[in-house]
Amino acid sequence: MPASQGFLEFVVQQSDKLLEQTLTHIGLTFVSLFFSILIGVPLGIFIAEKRKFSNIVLGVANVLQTIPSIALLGFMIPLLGIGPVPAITALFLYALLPVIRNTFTGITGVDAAIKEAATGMGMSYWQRLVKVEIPLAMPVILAGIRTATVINVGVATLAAYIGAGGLGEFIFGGIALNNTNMLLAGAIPAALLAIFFDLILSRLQHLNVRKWKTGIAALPVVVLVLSSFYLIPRETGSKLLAGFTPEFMGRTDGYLGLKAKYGLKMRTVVISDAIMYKALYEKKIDVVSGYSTDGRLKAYDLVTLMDDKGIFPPYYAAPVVRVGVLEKYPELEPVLNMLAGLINDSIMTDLNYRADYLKQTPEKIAEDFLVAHHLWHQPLGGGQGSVRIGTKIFTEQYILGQMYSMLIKGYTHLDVVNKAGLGGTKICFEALQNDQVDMYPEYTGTGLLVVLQPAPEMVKQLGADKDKVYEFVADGFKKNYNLKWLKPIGFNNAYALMMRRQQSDILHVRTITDLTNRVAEK
Amino acid sequence: MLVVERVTKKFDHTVAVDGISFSVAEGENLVLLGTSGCGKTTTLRMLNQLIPPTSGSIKINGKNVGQEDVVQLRRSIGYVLQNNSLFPHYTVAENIATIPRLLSWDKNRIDKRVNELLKKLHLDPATYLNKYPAQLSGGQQQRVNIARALAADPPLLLMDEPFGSLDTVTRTNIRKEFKELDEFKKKTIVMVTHDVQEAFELGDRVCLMDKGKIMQIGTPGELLNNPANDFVAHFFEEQRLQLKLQTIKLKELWELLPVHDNSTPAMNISADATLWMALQQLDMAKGTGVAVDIEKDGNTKNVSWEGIMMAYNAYKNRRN
Repeated sequence: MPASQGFLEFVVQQSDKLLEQTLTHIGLTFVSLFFSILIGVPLGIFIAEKRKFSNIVLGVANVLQTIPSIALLGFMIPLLGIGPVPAITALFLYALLPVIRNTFTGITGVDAAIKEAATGMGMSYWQRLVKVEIPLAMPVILAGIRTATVINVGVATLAAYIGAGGLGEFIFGGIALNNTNMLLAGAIPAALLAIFFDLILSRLQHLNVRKWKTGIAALPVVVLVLSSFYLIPRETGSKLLAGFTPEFMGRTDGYLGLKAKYGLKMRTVVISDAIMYKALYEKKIDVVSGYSTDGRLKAYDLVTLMDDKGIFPPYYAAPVVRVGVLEKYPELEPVLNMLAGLINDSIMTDLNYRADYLKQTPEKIAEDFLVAHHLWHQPLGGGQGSVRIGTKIFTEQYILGQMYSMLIKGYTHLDVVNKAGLGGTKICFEALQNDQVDMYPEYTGTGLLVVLQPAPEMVKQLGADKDKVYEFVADGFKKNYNLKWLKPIGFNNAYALMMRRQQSDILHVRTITDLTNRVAEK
Repeated sequence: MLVVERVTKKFDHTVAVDGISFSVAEGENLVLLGTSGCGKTTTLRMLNQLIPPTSGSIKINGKNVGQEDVVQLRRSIGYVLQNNSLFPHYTVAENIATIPRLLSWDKNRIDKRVNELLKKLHLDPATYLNKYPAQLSGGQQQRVNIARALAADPPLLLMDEPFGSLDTVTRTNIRKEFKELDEFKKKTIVMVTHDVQEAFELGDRVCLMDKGKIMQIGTPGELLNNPANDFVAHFFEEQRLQLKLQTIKLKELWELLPVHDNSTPAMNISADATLWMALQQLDMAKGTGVAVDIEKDGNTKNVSWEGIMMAYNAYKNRRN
């Protein structure tokens, strides 16, 4: 994707996808909203009548609300797999609290004298509820629905992590790919949707009491219609389902390259790399875009498919450091280079495996490794300046971050500030550029395709030659950003397509070409 | 009509109403009077089963209310609360139509009744039918509230501090309208108030309560002149003169009323009015002269403030 492309150009070019994502997003929001109203309003009315249950019901809803949304989505995977069902379930649980709480508050907030008048005049419980309490509580109930809608529009972006689609695909793709246009193409419509629905509902909420009756009658219809957006037919193809990260979906050395070079056309969902291996292992998806050194390869008994046409460029890891820091602390560079050439693919896979499968902490893994290689040294005590180490948000980076941290403390008098887990490439790179971190481990392929983004001919010319790519990237970073690539650590964490070993055996799929043929058959 | 026998209400360990008995005759106005927490409101709310009594029996027209279907029972009893009890999401017309609708009257009958009641309560139907309670003044709201309770023409009307939240002037006016309304004259009414004036003005009999017990039940005159105990005597102490003026009607001292000399004809007032009402009229209508015309059997006397007070003194002395 050329960097020069304008935002509007991007939107026009991607308008089909954008429309589909927007409709999916609206669908996700309203299917879940529909269920939360269906359950939440009666539950709110129930606890308003039976007060002794109110604490427990509101308590549970409150706890649900406090679970971080990405964690809640994570919990859903083992239970409900990936795709719309867990996404809608999670959104439903989020929307529940405002709906229940506002219904409860609205009903209990009706003036006691008015309730007594209704009872005293001979209304039954249901008559009082329907004729008096619900209409009077309606503005408060609607406010709850309004809150739930806005929450849902926001949280629904995360649905892209578990293959449920929506505008999150563009947002996370944009972050991962350092593509501002893509990011905005997801974020702006999401924000507009939130504002739009908020506005509509606030209108409804402040309508004259009189018009509620029609407004309220229309609400379920509108919610259902909007929900049905989710049912629009989606792209279909093979029976095999691929789960690709937002980053992979949009990269020329990712799905775009697979389509162009191999002619692979398969059913895909967008999914977060945090849960994709597990989803693959649990047979929710059949192919994922993994990293070749990932410990879960070993843990989940997965195989990588051979890149027989060579579309994945080399991804040799090396620390990228701000030149200013290296000049300020000359002792730093030799220390950071201590890891150079030390960790090959299989060692890195093993280290990752220890974290992902054996659940060892990155600190322990880093320390064990350094001790085994006689590199570990007692901290010298800091006080002569500090270095901020950033890492991306996956296992390998945490481990590398810890190793660098221990090396710096052991061999220099510098302090270390760890800023681990900085989302994708875009976030790390921007942090480095904007003097928020001093260094982070980066990969040559990423530096090439995500940051420098040279013309396609250039990429082709560099091809799979790891040294050429390193030199090109190191040169480009130095010239354009005044950032220095230190010596490569040794392993090549390239993109790879992965399958379950068992399925790969059954289908006789060993290479990406095999996969393409297999998919085309069906 | 209404017979209450040995009714007790306990909330947890406190006794709110302690074995009280009284009866209300058809067409009679009984006022339950007392300070806050004396049990008067609890008593009233037991009559339409908003609060079930702990023990004792309440009979309306011989039927025990505890054994009736509460919903049907309540629809047959008018119930007026303080004026913030109108349904804010209903128009004036819809508020008044509440019980007729619950009773499934047909639309024409409801419309007719609503119009009729609004006119009787001096609210122009064209102006007020489609207004919401929030658009009305406190006095107008309370008129609608009363109309709502009267809509299905219940023989028994329960009123819980119906004028409690109104300012004094509005209160006096509405009370007057209320007394003159033909709808009320034939109804049996049980009303709760803590306002002694109101009790004396509206009650045929007053039931004075304290700590869940009835201290005395009787006409205002009886309570004032023959208090049953010290509590009753003390209760009226501060307002004794005013209350006395309230218990005496103009016609009772007709002969003693001196004719005012050089009066300009002022307002007319019936000889059935109390001394207190006549004095109030004089006091309120400053611009129209200092005298009031009193009519009795076609005869008219033009009397001043001083004239009424002189007559009262003479009346009092004569009784002593």
